[in-house]
Amino acid sequence: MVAEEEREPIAFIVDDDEGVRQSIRRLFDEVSMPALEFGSANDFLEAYDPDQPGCLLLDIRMPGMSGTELQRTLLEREIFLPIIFITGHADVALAVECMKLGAFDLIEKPFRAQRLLDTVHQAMAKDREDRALRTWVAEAKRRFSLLTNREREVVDLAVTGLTNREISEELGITSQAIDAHRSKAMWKVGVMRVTDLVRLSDLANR
Amino acid sequence: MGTAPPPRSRRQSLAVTILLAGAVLALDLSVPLGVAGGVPYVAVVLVSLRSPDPRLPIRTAVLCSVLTLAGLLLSPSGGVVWMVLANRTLAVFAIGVTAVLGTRWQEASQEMAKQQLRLAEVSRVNMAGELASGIAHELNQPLASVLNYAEAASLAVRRGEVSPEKLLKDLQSIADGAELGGQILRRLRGFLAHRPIERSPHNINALVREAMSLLSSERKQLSIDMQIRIPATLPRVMVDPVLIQQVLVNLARNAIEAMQDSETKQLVIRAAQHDSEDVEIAIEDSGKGPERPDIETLFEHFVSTKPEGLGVGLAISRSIVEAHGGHLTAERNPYRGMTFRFTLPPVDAAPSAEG
Ligand SMILES: Nc1ncnc2c1ncn2[C@@H]1O[C@H](COP(=O)(O)OP(=O)(O)OP(=O)(O)O)[C@@H](O)[C@H]1O
Ligand SMILES: [Mg+2]
Repeated sequence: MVAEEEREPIAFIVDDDEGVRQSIRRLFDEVSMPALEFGSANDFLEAYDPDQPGCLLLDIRMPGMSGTELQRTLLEREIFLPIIFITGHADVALAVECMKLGAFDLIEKPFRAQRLLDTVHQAMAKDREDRALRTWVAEAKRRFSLLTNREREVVDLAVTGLTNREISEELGITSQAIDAHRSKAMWKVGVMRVTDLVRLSDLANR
Repeated sequence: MGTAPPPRSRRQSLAVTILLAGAVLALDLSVPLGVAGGVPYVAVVLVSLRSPDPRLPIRTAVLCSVLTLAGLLLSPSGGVVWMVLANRTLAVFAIGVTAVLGTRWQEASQEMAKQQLRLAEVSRVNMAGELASGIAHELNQPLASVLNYAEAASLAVRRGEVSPEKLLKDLQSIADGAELGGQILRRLRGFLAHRPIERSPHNINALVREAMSLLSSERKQLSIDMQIRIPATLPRVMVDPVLIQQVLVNLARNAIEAMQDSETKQLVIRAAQHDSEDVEIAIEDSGKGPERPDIETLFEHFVSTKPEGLGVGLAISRSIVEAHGGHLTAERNPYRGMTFRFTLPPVDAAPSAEG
């Protein structure tokens, strides 16, 4: 598999309050964390390239599109950048809703630098893992799509741990034919051992 | 500005009632109306209902009933005795019913006035809660930014890589944040003074002129052309003058701010009464008009399009007007600018202050 060239993660700051935005930016500069600022949810949506890893620091309450609305829009567009909400007032109901929708974390203003930086690092690590997993899943699906229906049937049964004899009873074909299908399939998806086949099939079925 | 007539006192009411009752008796005795002579006593009972003394109507009814029957004995007029008797009894009945119904009606309207005051109190409490949460939000912004700069500076110092210029910049940002926090509190202070609403009758013209004098320097600076068109015939309104002037100042200040860059700068304040109901006050400007498509959102707390606006002026004005039982609405003028209107109860319609 071709390893994608790793892009450096960026912390995106979306807050309508310029003072807050710039002060967070100052903090990130101090620890040499690449960061970009946006004054509104729309500005961010227009500029953001979904292939750019990182995380999103988002103010819940903003004029125009609010933080929660941006969260929904990103979900609709299948953009899974981890979101750290920053809220200026403890609106419990709103906070619960954001967390339910899968926000990474929620930090109340004002906050200590360490809390913010730790959370940003964790969110970026999660984003890296998620992206890697999504690449693997896509790749596994692509490889499995090369299989014929019969090969797919054989593989699906084989990875559940059934023996050749059991599979041949199930599908009504000879054990030699099953061997042939399985080797062909393993060759096509590019694995040598059955344990690897099991792992790949697991990814492809996500 | 005319002075208010003092509320009718108990003694005055009693005197008027007795006088009227005497007049009706004289009429009854002097004019040979015969059977119907007792009926005008109903009017006496009605007049007595206006007294602040809640027992006066019933007492008046008793007095009038006695006089009605006395009139029968004293009156020289003849007629069929049983018919006259029946008619006098009917008159007494009418007097009694008027007194009872009138008293009931009075009690009901007093109860209503109390409810209205309670409602006003509830809306004040809501307003206070909303304001508190809004203030927390506003103050958190400079606090967060102060904290961030302080942390960034201490990170830099700890790493030993700090230039005096950089440190100075951080310290400057911290000072700016603290100053901003103070400014927010200062702008809010005028709005926060909590006190119960105290209503009394006031002349609208005087209220408006006084409120506008508070803005005279702003008006002069921008050379605003202000016109006040308030007919002298308007009844007075039952209001807390300080609060209503706050509303007038908020609305006029917004209007002036909206006309800052306009060529024509006309501020017109009108007042009118439609169908003897609430008095309506309109503040019309020739400014740039609303910058948001949905005018209703301007009334929300902390909605502002001004660099140093807090966005509480309209929200507070609406609460105040509603606490007085009125409505505050906004509209876009057909040609240019906006008009804000609010209604206030005239003295007659307002629940009595002694309630
Ligand atoms: N006469 C007007 N013409 C045009 N826009 C207006 C007018 N009055 C109010 N607005 C709009 O409504 C917004 C809210 O007004 P509001 O008085 O509540 O807050 P503000 O004036 O911004 O701040 P402050 O709390 O200091 O009064 C304003 O920022 C402005 O955009
Ligand atoms: Mg204002």
